[in-house]
Amino acid sequence: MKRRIFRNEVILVVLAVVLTFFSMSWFMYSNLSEQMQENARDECRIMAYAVNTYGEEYVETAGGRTHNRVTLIDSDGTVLYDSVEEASSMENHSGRPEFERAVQSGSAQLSRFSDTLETQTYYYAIRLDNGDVLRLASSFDSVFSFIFSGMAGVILLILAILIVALMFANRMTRKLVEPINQLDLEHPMENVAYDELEPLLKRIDQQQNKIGEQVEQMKQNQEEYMTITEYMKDGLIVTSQSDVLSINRSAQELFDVTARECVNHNIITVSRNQELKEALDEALTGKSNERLLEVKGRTYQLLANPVRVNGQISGAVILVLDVTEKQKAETMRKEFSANVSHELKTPLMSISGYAEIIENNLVKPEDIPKFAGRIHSEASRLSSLVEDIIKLSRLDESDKSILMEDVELYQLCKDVEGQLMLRAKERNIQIGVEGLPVVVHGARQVLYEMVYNLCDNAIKYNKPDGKVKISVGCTKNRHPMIRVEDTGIGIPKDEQERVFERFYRVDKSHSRATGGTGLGLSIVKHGAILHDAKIDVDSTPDVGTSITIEFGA
Amino acid sequence: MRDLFSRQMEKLHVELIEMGALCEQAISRAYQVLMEEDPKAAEELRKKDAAIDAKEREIESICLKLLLQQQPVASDLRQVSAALKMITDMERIGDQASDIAEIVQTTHLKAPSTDIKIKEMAQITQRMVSKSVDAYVKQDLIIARQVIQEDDLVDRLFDEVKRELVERLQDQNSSGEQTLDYLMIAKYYERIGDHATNIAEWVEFSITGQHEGEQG
Repeated sequence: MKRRIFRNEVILVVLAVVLTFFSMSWFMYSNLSEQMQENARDECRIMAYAVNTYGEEYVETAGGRTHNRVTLIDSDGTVLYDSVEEASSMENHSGRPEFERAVQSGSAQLSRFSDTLETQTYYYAIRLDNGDVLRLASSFDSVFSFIFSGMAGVILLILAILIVALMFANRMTRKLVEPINQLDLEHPMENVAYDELEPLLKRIDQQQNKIGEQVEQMKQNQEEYMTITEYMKDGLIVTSQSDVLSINRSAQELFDVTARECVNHNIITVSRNQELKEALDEALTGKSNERLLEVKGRTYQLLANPVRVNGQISGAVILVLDVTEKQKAETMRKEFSANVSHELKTPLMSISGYAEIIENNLVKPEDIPKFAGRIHSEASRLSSLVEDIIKLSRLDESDKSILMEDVELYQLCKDVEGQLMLRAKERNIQIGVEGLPVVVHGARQVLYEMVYNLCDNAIKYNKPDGKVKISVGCTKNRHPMIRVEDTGIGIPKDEQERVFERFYRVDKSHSRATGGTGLGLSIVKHGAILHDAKIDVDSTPDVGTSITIEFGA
Repeated sequence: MRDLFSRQMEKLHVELIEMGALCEQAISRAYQVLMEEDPKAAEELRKKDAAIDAKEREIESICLKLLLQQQPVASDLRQVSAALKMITDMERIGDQASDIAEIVQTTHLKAPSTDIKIKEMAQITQRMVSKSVDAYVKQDLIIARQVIQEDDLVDRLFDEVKRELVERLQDQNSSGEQTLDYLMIAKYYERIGDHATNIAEWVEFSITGQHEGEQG
């Protein structure tokens, strides 16, 4: 900018100076030379008049008194007198154009440059009355030397102009640019320094607004992303080819690192776990993969997916899901199906075995009723097992069609007591119900099953001459509850959690001595879930067990 | 230039962690070989040991390159020199882990009974190695000092194991060779504990510039 201003300024000024100089010189010079010629002409005329009047001797007197050169030439061209040189040594002037023209027309004028062009000589010749010619020569500086003599001044002037122009350009640029540099680009329209700048500022303003909107949009996106990832339960790690780009809070907690420690660092700073590294490496080759990861006793599922930008893998996204519960449920389901088939197969095998013996006539006729009795008892065991499984699966589906009504618990327990009285007597066990009538909103059939199964277990796993006590009432929190207490063999502490699992038995031999399907407590548990009830087990081995069902807890 | 330098430092950091991870894996494989008599783990352990040796040479060359080309100073220099020292300790851990597996494999050694506290030693040293690498990753003085303190525990356990094994030797029914093998294994674990402590001390040095050995 500065240089351009300077250049333009210099070109302009120098051109102006030079042009002015030349035109002025030309004008002055032409005026001056005209003047000089006029003077010479006048002088020559006066001198000619004087010579005509006073004779040719006058020429010598006049020639000595003027700075012009005076020459008197005879009509045949011989020089009679010259004020500068000796007349006799000069050549014949008859060939000179001014002489010839003066002889012909009475007077003649002529300008001639010297050989060096430094001076110009003006000749004026007049034919005297006697036929001689009087010539006056006036020399003065030629136009070139006139211009040349002014040149030094002009160059000095130009130099001075250059310096001034430089300073001026400096100042001007600074002054011009200063307001532009101090523009507040945040609010460009508020400080229009030059009207000429307004279109630019308008564009900047528009761009500013656009950028602002985009930044706002990005901020919002970022916030959304942060909210989603920070508050999600699953771990999320986003990586580039090697470094962690972002890691959410769950993942930080899981791997026990902070974002500061590992963002923009290699994934290995997050965890030295081999599985994680392998999952990432595989994802970076373009293959989505999943694998299981064990951290601090919990099982996590790692899902690693490559991120492709323009067809090139630029990184990976790793999702870490806690699948401990799922894994547990999975194993339980597997165990259950294995157990079901086993439990169903055992009675069937004995039924088919007894039937086969009878078929082959290996049984004495009098023994047949005994065998038939065994077949019958195994068959009823099988059917009660199937019944239990059906009940359980119904509870599992938490069938909406189960009829919910107000059920009075005390009467319900009395019914159960009546049902089991006989069996209790067989084992010489006392069974009794105490408490107050309490009403619960629930499924009568399911509640009955629950109490029945609890009491059945209480009798089955009791010692001879034991006691079973059923209490109905309210807890301190005014929640309805049923408690079944026995004086039986009890449940070891570390198994109290597991007895509610299907087919789980404290006695691993799966002995048929006590009968039962192994599903009773499972039915109780699912019934409790259906009724939003809480089961509380309090048991001491060899002393007794107390199981409390608290409704609405 | 500085950019290249910080890239090289970062690479050194990552490689060192990778080597630490390999050590952790090696020692946990050794545990599997010893306690669970898992022959597959022994095979893996051999591979890990080879990988550890290769890593040691790689890190060595990175360190030397850094020292020669970049002439690091102050804490950077400490980092590089500490790395050079740490890899030798890590390499020893890898070797000793495979030595344990070798004893078990060649002598068909049964897992030690619970009255010999080799299992505890193995678990504690495993934890120490893990923690020493953690201390390096996080540049955490507290973890490093925990490791240094835990070494006393390993030493005490080694003495206990030794006493129990001596009693065993006096018992005519037990095999003397087996007892000596157990002693060797216990000694290896004790050495691994020492190496983990060394690593922790170098971590401390790279952070504070003070090496444990210099004090007192």
